[in-house]
Amino acid sequence: MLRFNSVRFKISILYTVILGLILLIYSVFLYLSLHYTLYGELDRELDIKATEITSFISSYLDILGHDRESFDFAVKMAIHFDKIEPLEENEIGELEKLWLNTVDKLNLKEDYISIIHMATGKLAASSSNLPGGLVLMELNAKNARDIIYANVRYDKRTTRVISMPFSCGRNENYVVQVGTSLKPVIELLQNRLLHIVCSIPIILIFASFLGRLFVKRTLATVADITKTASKITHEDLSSRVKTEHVDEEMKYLVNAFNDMISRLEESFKYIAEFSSHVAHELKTPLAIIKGESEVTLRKERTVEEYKGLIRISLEEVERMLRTINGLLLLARLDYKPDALVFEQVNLVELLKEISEQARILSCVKDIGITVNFPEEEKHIMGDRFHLRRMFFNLLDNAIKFTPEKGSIDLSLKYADKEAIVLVSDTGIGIPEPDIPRIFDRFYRVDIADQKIAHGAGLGLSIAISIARLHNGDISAESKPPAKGTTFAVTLPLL
Amino acid sequence: MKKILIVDDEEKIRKIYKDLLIDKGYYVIEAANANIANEELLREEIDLVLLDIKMPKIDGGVMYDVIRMFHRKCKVIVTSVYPLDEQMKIIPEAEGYHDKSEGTEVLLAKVKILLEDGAPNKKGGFCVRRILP
Repeated sequence: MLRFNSVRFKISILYTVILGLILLIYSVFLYLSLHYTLYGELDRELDIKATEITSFISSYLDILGHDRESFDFAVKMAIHFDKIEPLEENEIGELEKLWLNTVDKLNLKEDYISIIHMATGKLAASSSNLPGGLVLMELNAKNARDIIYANVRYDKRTTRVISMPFSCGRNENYVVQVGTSLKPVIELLQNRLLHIVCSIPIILIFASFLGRLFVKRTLATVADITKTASKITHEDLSSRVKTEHVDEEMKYLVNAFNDMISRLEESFKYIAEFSSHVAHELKTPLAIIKGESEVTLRKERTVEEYKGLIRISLEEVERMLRTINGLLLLARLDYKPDALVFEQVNLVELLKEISEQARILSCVKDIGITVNFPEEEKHIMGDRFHLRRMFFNLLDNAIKFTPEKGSIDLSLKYADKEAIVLVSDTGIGIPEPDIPRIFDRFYRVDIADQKIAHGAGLGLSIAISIARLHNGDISAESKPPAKGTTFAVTLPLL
Repeated sequence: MKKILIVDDEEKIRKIYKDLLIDKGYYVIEAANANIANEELLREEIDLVLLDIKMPKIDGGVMYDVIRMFHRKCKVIVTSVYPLDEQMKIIPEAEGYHDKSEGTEVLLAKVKILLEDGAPNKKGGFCVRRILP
């Protein structure tokens, strides 16, 4: 079921990998986006906290006065807010109440706060959760000037620290540092990561199953074709693949497949019929030879009678040879049309040659052959040998079926893009119902007059095959009885 | 004298069988196609028909039906170059079957059995293989 070069496997893998990549990229994007947002928010919070602290101190100093002692006091108030008791109903009291509100609002109780004197590096104050003069971020050139954010590890926890320089009064530069626990952020991010890591594989597995299901459905049609194909043998060509419930693209495949089987069926029927004909055509001469030989040998015969037997046998042997050669030629024409060598052929020249040859045959029966060729000598593209054969077969037929002292006419005319060769005779003609069948293999018209020698019935089949291989055709017209037949061969001109 | 009608489009075959059977004392008539055969059947009382299957225009099968319908007393031996089992498929109920390539001795024997012994032997084609002269 799981074969490595199966289409289903390949498609599933491809699809899963692509989907996996997409999910991965998307998840990474979402994760980073969350990371950025969370840190951004946190930093903004820290900024607000540091700013509030510095503005509280400023306000305090505005009331108390900008001196050293007031500063120390203000700083301590700012950080150790648990020690604030806003008793007095004056400006300070108001300020302190406001500060306590702010502390609550900003949740400064949990944070680590330090205020450092920039010049000396001494700690001015730090929140109670920072014991022993611990400083969150060491002072250096950078954080003396700019607001810096950093992750600092303290007490086994990671904290986000802001370092903000501020000044109050003349030349008194300090740095306030506020640190807040990154735990919630980190937990959130870890949670998100876990979700991603768990869900992606599950999604992929599920998707790959779905994918395989869809591919299976599409390939079901292919499976049908395979099943039908296996049922076909040369004995049973009747099965076809059904075309209902088949997708558009598959319909082409299914129809092409069904058509192919139909053509095969035709071919096999043709071959079976043909084989049967061949056997019949060859067995008849053999039966004759056998019969005559048996009869002759039954008693003593004269030399003449023996000679007669040999003559009959020879005739039948010739007949069989003509049949076999004719069949071989037909097979070659049908299946190896490149056996024909095409070249430019002068039609008039060719027909003149053939008419000469035919005269030799026809004079035995005292049949006259007349020719009728135009002045202009046009050419066709053809195989000389086979063209000669074709015209010869037609003339031979004419001679065979025309009685003594009859006549045959061979004429050529040009019509637009074609050459038309007419072979007319004054023979016994072909009955109307037979005309469509005379070009069939082995078809022989029933002739009462047995003096007319019968061929194998292949001459006209061969002729029409040759004509068609030259992109031409042959047609026949006849006025029986005894008003003759005309064969018309059309061939495309160059 | 028993009368035999040979129906075959091949002249040489007719000649062979005619010579053969006349030699054995039968009265033989020839017919080159079904139409002529029909005429002959109407004209004379035929005892046996040697019927060829493959003939142009009207083939042996049709001729056989005609014989069966109008000339019941006539016996038929189907002669053809088709193999025997195929002959039996084409004309199922004839009295005898002959593959022409089996030769003349075999045919003579079958004719003799049908015309002299009286009883029609449907499986004549299989029983008689070779009879020595």
